[in-house]
Amino acid sequence: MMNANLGDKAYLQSITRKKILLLVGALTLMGLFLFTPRVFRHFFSPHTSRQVLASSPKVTIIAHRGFARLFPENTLPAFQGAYDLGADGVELDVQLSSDGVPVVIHDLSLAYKNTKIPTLKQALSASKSRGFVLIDLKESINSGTSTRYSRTCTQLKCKKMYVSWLPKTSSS
Amino acid sequence: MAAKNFVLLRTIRNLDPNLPLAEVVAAKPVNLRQLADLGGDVLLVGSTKLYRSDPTLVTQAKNLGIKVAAWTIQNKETARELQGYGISTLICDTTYEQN
Repeated sequence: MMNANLGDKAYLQSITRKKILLLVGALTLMGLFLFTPRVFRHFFSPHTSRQVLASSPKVTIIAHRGFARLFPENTLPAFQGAYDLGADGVELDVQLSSDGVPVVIHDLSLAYKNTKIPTLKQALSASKSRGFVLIDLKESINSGTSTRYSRTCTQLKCKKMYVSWLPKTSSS
Repeated sequence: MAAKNFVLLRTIRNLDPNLPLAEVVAAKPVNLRQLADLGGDVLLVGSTKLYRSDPTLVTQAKNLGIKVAAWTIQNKETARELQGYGISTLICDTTYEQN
């Protein structure tokens, strides 16, 4: 009888231990999920851009470098994050890389080693069907290189993106 | 496409007569007529001083077929002030209100 009780107790303890392990595992996974930057912002950000900066639906919100204060500026995660937060469009800066590729960066001399610099093509592709893109050509760009930008945009049909946002600002 | 350099804007216009163009301005003078003659679409204004010193700026631009947008807005008060001037396109750094 005593042995049977001890057996039951050990059995119950092993069940409880399994439950605790499962619970800890589930909580860990949930924590990892919630603290993924995008999920965290989704649940814990107090406001969307529209709620804070413009209550009127007529106002068009453009995320400067993809909301530079919230995300690593001029990056694909920033653009995606900006659209997730309700931006109508994103503004991005374009320069030419040393090998002549249009890349999205404000200042080439300040390129951060750990930040992935997107090409203009990648940035435009990421924005397709999400919103418009306002491309800020930096002053270093001269007339010779602007042909490349024009070609890039024409290939990606980004004209439509611009046209799509212009009527929304009819009051200004 | 937006640029501060008007020569660059003119070059792009020559390359593509239909591409929407925006001129970036941060200080006076603002040459709306020049932008209109180029077929520019948007004036991107970077200082509230420009609106305050000339509240008719948006109306003048509108009369020339140019839309006005403002950068870079950090708080609700400025957003409201700009909307008071008739500006409904705001370029913002954050979704949060900054002090």
